[in-house]
Amino acid sequence: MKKDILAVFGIVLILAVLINGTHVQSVDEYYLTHIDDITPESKTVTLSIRCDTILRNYDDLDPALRSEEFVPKDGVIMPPTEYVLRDGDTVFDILERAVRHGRIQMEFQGAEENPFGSVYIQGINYLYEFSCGPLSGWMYRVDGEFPSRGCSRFELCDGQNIEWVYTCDLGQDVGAEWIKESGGQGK
Amino acid sequence: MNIKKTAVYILSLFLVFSLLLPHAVVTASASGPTLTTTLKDGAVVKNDRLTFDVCARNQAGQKIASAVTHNGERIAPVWEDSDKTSYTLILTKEGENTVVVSASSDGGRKKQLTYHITYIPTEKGQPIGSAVISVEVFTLGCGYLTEPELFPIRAGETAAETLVRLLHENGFVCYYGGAVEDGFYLAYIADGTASEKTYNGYKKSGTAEDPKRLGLTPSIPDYLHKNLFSSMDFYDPGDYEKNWEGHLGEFVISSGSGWMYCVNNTFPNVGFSDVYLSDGDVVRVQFTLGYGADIGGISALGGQIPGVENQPETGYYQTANKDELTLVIANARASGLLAFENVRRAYSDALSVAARLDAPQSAADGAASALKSALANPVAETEKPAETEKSAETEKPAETGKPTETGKPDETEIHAGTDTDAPTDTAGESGTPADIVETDAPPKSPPPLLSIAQGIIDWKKADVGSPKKGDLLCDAFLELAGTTAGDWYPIGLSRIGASDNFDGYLAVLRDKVEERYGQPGRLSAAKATEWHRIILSVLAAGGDPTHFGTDENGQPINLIADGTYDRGKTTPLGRQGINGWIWGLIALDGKRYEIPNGAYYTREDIIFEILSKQLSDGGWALSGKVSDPDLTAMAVQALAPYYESGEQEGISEKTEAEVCHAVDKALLCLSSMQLPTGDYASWGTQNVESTDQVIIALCCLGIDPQSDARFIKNGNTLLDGVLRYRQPDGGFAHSYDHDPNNPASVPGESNSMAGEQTLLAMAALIRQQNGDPTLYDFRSEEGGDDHPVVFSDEDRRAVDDLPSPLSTEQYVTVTALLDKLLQSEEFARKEEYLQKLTEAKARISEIQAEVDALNEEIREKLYPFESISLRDKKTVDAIISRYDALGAYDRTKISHWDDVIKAKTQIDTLQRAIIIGVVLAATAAAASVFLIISIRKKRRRHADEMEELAARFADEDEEEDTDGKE
Repeated sequence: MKKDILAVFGIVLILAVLINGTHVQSVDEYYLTHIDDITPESKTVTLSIRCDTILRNYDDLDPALRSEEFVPKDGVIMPPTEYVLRDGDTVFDILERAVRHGRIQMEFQGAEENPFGSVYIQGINYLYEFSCGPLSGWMYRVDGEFPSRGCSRFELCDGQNIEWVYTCDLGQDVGAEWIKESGGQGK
Repeated sequence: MNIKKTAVYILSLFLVFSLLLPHAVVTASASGPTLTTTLKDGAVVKNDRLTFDVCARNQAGQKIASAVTHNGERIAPVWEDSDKTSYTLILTKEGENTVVVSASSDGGRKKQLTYHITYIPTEKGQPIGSAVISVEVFTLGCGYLTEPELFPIRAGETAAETLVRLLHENGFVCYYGGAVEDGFYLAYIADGTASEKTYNGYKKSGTAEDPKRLGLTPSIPDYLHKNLFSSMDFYDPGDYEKNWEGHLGEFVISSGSGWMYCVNNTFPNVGFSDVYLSDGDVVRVQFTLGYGADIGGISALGGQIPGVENQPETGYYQTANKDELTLVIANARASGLLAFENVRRAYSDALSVAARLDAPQSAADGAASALKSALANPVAETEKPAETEKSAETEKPAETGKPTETGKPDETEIHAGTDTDAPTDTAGESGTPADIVETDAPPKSPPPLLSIAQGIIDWKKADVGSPKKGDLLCDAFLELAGTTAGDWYPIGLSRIGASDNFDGYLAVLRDKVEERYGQPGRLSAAKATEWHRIILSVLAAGGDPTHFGTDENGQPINLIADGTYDRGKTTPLGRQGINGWIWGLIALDGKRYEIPNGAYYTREDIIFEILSKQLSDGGWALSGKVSDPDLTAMAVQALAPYYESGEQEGISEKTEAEVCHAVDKALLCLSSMQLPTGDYASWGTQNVESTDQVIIALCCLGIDPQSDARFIKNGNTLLDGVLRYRQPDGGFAHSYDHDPNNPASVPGESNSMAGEQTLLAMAALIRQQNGDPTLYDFRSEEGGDDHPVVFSDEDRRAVDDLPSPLSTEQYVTVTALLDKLLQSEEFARKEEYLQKLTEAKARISEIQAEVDALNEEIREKLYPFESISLRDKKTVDAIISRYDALGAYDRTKISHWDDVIKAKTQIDTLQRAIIIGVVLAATAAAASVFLIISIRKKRRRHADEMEELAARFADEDEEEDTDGKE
């Protein structure tokens, strides 16, 4: 009789395990597959991608890009989204992770290919520099400020808020006063 | 027996699980809370109250707590019901407000939404013009602390905020009471280096950019001293140095001291934080020693402050309205004309009148109008010898922002350090414009141009890891062919006549151009300057830009057509701005290429576009109304072939006249922008590249930059200006200031872009001295030179030494060798080498294609991670086996490989989960079957026993019965 109860208990246990799922992983595997999971302990940053300024300068936009596919109605290509911050992550790392996971097109010039020694973001969602007038292109803000460093040279801290914004006026329309494409880049 | 076994099995499994469980996870997917609100991102609201609802639920659909911050401050809910929470925003900040709504549940999963709400009527922070602002310490005899400047003001910003910004930009900080938005009281202006968080209980304003010291040595004017001596409770002229050094404000020197301000010559009765400035206002922030009686501001203080009542109601003396004077001084500083002798003199007079507290109105007005008329007619310093000018300069205090110490000791050092055996013949050749320099015998002679250029080349060689005797255009450098970082050095090298690996460069560049022509947008969808730069570098390296490789249809690539006169067929030449027109014309005139009939643009079209973008002050800029020296110089370079040339066909006389007029104006503009140190500032940063471009522009026009009086300031030539940036390593620094626009440059450290542009400027000067065609005039260069190409032993060895298997690492080597071999003369084993190299090239292209395809596959198939399932197993396994097939170098070109590993691990876990599930299910089923069987067996046994028992009893009964019967 006792043995029967034990057997029933065993079966119930197995069924319970089955219902709960059977993901069995080693510690390393667990950390690898959950590296980007947000937990209360994880350091995170927020990233958004917007192109509102184009909506106000639609006439300057390359006609081939005049579609909601490229310029969403609300100007939001990606709403603020939280990402886990890994050690040493730069603004570029987070952007690349975001566009990969969000399956958003992005093209950049590597740090060695331009005279500024930092990755230069040429286009996001098919919107490129000069797609909307001669003073247009991508810029980024961290916590509301436009940093004076290239995006692959800006290391992030916990809780920072990154906004990639498209400017149609060398940054003036997004609140940056001093930004310019420095003499050499356009030559 | 069986039951026992099963139980043991289950128990052991359970044990195994309990060991695993603490580390491993039995997860059910959780998507975290859902969060919605009635706020709209980007909304523009005109009411200062905005109420909205937040609806936050956990996965189970229950309402959970939410948190809302408004501009970073937590706000409390107004009411809550079972379904949502309502909040009211009180919009006090005009302009953009940030509202962050967040909620967390289900094990700490957090959702966060950020909204940007714009509050009008007054959009705060928008530039709304500029005010003239000065900070004056005339009462201490110290002139201006910050000279009058046209300072940008922003909507919704209080005058206190504006002032703090101004102080910070000028290198100072302040200590204040209250807040910049409300109740601001300016207690002290202090050294930018001041580190105290508070000073006498007043808060520090933040940090100054480029901190400066006040550097005051008070020397109170006599006429003021008398008044203070007789009327102040406390007055000690030496008090600042004794007790306050570095902090100037209330109670310093006298009991009636402190900062006061007037707006449009009125001292307001309200605080700085209650004033919002408008475009054109004149704000004079002044230090008083006598409750304002010394600066015409006694009335502002009313009677509240003890000690004021002792002061004369009309002040110590009459003070003039200096608003006009202040404005003109600001204009003079902004004009860039201070280098002109008459302007400088009038400016200096104006400063001394402004600084006189008791100056009569007529003196103020007179100084203002004198300066105004000087600004309208700037006269360059003329025949004055440099010597006298220098001494005149030293008498005056340095009036322009920067001390003029320059790099003179450095210069001598460099000069002394230059190796004397460097070729110097170019400088002394007779009949060249350099003669003028010689006869003038300038006090300091610059190092020979060629040795400057050689210094840059040597520095760059070290930078790319090439030996001093080797080529700059080595394999590492050639990787950059076709990029902004890689194409200017070859131009500079070629134009100073240096020999280098131009053939290798051309081979790699051609290959890259062919590859890029296969992509949409070809070299660039928007930037025509990609073509222009490459055209110039092809010309410099001895190639033909009208036949540069073949496109995917086998047609020769004509960079000139596609990049200049026919560019408009796909994208306007000026899509990227004025740069596109300017460089298009320079490229087109590299060999004065003829434009065929039916082309999209004519030369006049392009010239017209450039001319039409000239600003009223004579220059050009990327945007705005203020001329930029770089773009102005580049526009002049483009227009130079049409300036008084008479050689151009297809250009109307009218156009040529317009070009002449435009260039003349541009030269004046450039002259006026030149700084006393000989160099230029662009976008606020004094730098070498702007100066380089001006040198090139003048050389293109045939003007000798070394002797033209318009471009010698204070005895400093453009070359002097350039040499300020020369570094001991031979390279050039971009600037000595931190430049936010050029993040790769470190102040005072050699920089690649500074080096390449200076190399071009040196090339321009050297070519001018030698009487060679100008920098971008390649007409005399032989296209496709006929010198015999020999595939040397070294080259053959390089082919023999190619590793096996090959990788993309050998791309540059193989491309350059193959190109050379194709052009080389016949030799015995040419066919063999040709086959080997062609195969190698094809193999490398294959590998490159595989690397690209694999990168694409990863990007396309493995995201987002949450969607990875067992169905992707095949894809992931295929990716991994393709990766394993690559060589070690090529594997480094696969980006985000860790994501593939992550996906693989995830799939393995899923697979394992299924196996474990099946095994467990089978175990459970088996155990159940055993259990059932054993229970049945037991039952049957039980039943049998019962039957037996019953039978036995029945037998007994029967016996009894029979007994009974018997």
